[in-house]
Amino acid sequence: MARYAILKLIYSVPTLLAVLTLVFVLTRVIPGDPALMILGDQASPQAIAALHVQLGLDRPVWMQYLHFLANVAHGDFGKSLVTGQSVVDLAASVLPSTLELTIASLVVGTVIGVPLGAWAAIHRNSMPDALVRAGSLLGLSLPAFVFGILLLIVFSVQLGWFPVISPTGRVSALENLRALALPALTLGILMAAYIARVTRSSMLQILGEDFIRTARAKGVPWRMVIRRHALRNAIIPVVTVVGLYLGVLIGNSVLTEMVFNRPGLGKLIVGALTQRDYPVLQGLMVLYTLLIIIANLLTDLAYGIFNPTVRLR
Amino acid sequence: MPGDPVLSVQGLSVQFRIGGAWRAATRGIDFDLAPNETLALVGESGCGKSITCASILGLLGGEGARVEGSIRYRGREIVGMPESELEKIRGKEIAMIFQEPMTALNPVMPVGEQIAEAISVHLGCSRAEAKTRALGFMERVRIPAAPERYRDYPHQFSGGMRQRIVIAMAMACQPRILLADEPTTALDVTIQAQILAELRDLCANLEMSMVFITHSLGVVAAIADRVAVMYAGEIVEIAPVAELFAAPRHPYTQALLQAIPRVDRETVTLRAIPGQVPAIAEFGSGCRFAPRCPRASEACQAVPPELAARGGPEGHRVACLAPAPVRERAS
Repeated sequence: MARYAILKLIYSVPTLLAVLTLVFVLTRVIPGDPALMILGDQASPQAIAALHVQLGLDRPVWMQYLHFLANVAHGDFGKSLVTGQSVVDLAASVLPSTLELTIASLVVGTVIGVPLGAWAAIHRNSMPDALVRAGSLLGLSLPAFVFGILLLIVFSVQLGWFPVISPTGRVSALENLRALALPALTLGILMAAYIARVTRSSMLQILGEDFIRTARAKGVPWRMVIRRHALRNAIIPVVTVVGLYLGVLIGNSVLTEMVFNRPGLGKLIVGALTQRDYPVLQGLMVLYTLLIIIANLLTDLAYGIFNPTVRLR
Repeated sequence: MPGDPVLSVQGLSVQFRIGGAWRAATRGIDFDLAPNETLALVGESGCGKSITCASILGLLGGEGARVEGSIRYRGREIVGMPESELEKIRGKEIAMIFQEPMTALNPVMPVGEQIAEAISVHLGCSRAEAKTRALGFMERVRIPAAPERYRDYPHQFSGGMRQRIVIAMAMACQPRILLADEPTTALDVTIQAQILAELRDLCANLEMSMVFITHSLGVVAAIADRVAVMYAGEIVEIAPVAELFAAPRHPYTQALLQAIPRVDRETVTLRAIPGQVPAIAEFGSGCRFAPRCPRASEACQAVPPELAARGGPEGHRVACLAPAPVRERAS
């Protein structure tokens, strides 16, 4: 298992290199001049040229590229052009908050989505099935910002159960959880819509399998057949899908973080984009790539736990 | 046969909802199963053998399927029995073995646990006790190194070994009746012979009755006491095995026997039965074999012939208006 994980990490080095190159090229292709952003429209051409030299933007592109790669190899992603903070520090300060949101919504999505999907499959073509299918269609078509704002209006503004704006700085664990609840629910319920769909179709397929009939022929009560035989098999494709969805989830956190005004990678990257903050943008894209590679690795490992036929030696 | 039948099927008809109309897949199935007896159900694919078996366990029903008639297990009616009662009979009193060992086992559950599950569900014993018992049955069906293989998964076994696991699972609660739905069809011939021999031994040792479904007349000869030949959802002839092979009376049975190649005789051209089995929607009201039968008359098309002795011994019944005459047997 450990060997497999290490191998998988080595295999992801070329991926990472490709992403680094792509990120470098992309940031240079985006129109706009960072020096202009920093100094403003009124800056003299001399000042702009001076800043270009200072930022290394006057050198040929290939030199900038090699310089960039060498720095990355040292774990140095440079400093923000806007605030002067190191990119690594900047990312490290908001990473926990994003991870927290991702994991919480993953839990919400799975806890709601899997039972609902299974319930729908068991009652195929009847009321529960119709309800779950309609609900999941709604969830799939509802953008995160619309749903998030709805939740905000009802639970924060009207009922006052949760804070409208996430508190910053050090707060108690309970306070933190309260602030996390609505954003996690926003992403989690939308994810549940997706998971319920996958679980339903997977479950329907499994319920038609021979071994379900075998279990019934043994006299195993129906509820136990569902739990022990059907669900344990139906969950396998769900694991894969959830793993792939993790990437989408990290990306989706951008909108949620904006709506709930939470600090996080999403907000940081959008800020960096509008301000042409190249180093921050580059650093965060690489970080996103790393997160997705890790998510895929965890998915692979989890898959082996649920499916003995691919268990890794 | 001594003793009351353990299983008595009368007028069993299974209907499916096809395109809005109820169609009878089987019609008027009648047979008894005596204690310690092995009855073979023989017939082509789709003739209703498996459906008959599934209805004995109450596995049909729900939307799209309807079971009519009577299935009595030691006097208790199974048709219409509530699910909770059926669960107590399934696996405990009547167990079933399936055709496909590759798909009949749960791929994510260790095989030992799948055997032990049947035991703990019915006997309510502890986990350790169920495991000991399950191991005993794994050894009984000759799975080598059973204790080491208890926690292995189905994909780690060959087809023949998996079928042994399925058999061990069916035997685990020592049922009185074993329904074997083509248990050897998916296996190669040598393994087939081993499994048949083992089933025969187990039945004898555990005093079990067996309903054995097959489409192979060779297998029938090897394992059965009595044979019921099915065609298009009906039993057309039922007789002790030697009798049926020696003196078949129904034209379909006769045609079936003529279609088997024999190694002990000179090669003759095998005779196929002309025509096709009718589709379920095309069943007429009379004898279902009539359209393909060389001896069919107008009377055959009108009413379905009853399964009766028709001049032969009481144990040999045939559903035909023009059965072959009873042959005098020199004995």
